[in-house]
Amino acid sequence: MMQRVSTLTRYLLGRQSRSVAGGIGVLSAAILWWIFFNPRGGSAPEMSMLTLIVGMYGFGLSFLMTLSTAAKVYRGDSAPLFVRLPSRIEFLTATMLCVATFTLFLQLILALVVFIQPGGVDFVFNQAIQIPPLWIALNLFAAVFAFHATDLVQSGWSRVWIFGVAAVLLFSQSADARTMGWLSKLLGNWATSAGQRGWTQIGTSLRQASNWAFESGLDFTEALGVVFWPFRAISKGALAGSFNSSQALAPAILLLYATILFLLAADFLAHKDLHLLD
Amino acid sequence: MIEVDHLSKRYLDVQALDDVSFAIEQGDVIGLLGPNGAGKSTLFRIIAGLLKPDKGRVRPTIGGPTNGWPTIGYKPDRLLFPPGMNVQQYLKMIGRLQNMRGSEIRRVMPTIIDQVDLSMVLSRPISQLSKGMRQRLGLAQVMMGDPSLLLLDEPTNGLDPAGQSEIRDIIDQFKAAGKTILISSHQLHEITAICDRVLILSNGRIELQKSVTEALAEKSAVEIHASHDVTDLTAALQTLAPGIEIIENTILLTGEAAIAQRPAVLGLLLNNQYDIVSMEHKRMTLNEVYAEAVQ
Repeated sequence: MMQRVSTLTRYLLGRQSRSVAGGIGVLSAAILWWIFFNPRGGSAPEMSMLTLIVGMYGFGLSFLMTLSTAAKVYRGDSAPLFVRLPSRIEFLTATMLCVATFTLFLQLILALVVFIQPGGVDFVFNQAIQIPPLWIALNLFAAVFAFHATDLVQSGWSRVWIFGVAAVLLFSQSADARTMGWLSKLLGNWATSAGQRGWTQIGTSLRQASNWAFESGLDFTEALGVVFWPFRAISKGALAGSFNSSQALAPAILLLYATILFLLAADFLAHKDLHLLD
Repeated sequence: MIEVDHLSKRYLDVQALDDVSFAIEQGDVIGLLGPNGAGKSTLFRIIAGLLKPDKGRVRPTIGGPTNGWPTIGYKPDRLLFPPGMNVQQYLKMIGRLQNMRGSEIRRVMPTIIDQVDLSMVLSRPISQLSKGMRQRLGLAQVMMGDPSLLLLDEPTNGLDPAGQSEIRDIIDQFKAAGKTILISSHQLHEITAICDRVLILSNGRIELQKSVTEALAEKSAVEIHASHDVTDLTAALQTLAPGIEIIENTILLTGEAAIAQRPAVLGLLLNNQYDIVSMEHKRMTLNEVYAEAVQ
């Protein structure tokens, strides 16, 4: 299995590095350097900023590279390759590894340039050793999350469900008392409107939802917002320059999310029809 | 080797396959025929594991020689290869995916390349190959790793007669090497020449499933012309076998049983003072068998 996965990873890496998407990755790294880390006579940014900015860059690039790589895998020329594999998941694993390797390579090059350039960021060993788990966890999560947006993995309405749930969770995370008040009022108006039309049952349900949003909606959305704790912990820890004991768990939690999403993606891919495109 | 068991597949409102069953045994060379849209490529893709059937299944034959799933080499109907690779790189990659070691690839690849006659273009990017060469590369990748079942979906598609003949020669070599092959083609003479068995699909259903010899013999006929009207012998002739028809001085023997009675028919005519003017063995071509099956 290792031979097959490494062969496919090398093949995809070669293909991606010669593609427009690969070029965009390199170009975006250069632009990032120009905007944030070009000394231009000013003071160098701190290492905590480097960790955060390049980490976020890796997150975004992993997402986009996954879309691009998976689109290449889901083409007709992959048919003879899929047939040779005992499990389709090997191709999925190779795609993830290709994206993670490509992104991490660009991140490391960028960091190296920033460290060695005159007037660059001061290297702090204690902070540097925190970088790999952080960046790798963010990159893998972004790659695996992006799988669900691709034709390679999506099965039936899976794309709508997964990104729908993500949207609801994002809404929950940003919800406050004012938002919940607005939601409660909106539901109340709909309930009144439904009652006036004689749709009693719908009206009652909407009224109950409105009351719930007013009374305990905020608690519930705050509870849902816990899902985003690893991201908050990572940004806080990175900006502070050190992680406390609970924040240090954040990359591991992110990898747990990635594992769940990967298992889901693997299950979708294993059971779907591969209508590979020309 | 594998059993295709009551396979059905539907795409929205199109029934691509409808209760298709057959078995592929070790060493079989099976020709899959059918008009466009008959379900041939869908059947290939299901056997190759790219599509999932709605009903039925493809399973390894119990106690078969491959001891479980056979390894499969698949040449799709479309000639698509990864961009930016040359012939050698592509074949090496396929070999590695089949768990071949580097030394094994180096040992096997020259033989396969010679077999498909691609040795002159080993380092050439695939995108620069002619259609015929790409078809040959498709066959070469199928052979990498010595898979036990070869699925060849229209291997001569889009080639000129010379190119078709070259590909046919290569497939003949695969057959001579004892490979198990499922091949689809619109070139019926090709199927007649290469295959032992023929499956004719139409509207997703198997319309005919026989050995090529049987399919052709069943529809063949012998026409005997006597010197004068033989209708007096109608009763005597028709007792010999079913499928004997008399029209004035012509006797038509249709089907294997009737043709087997040819000496008896000739003897009866001669004993009754008839001269034999001519005797013609009319063999039905696979084109005619096919046309009848898909009607």
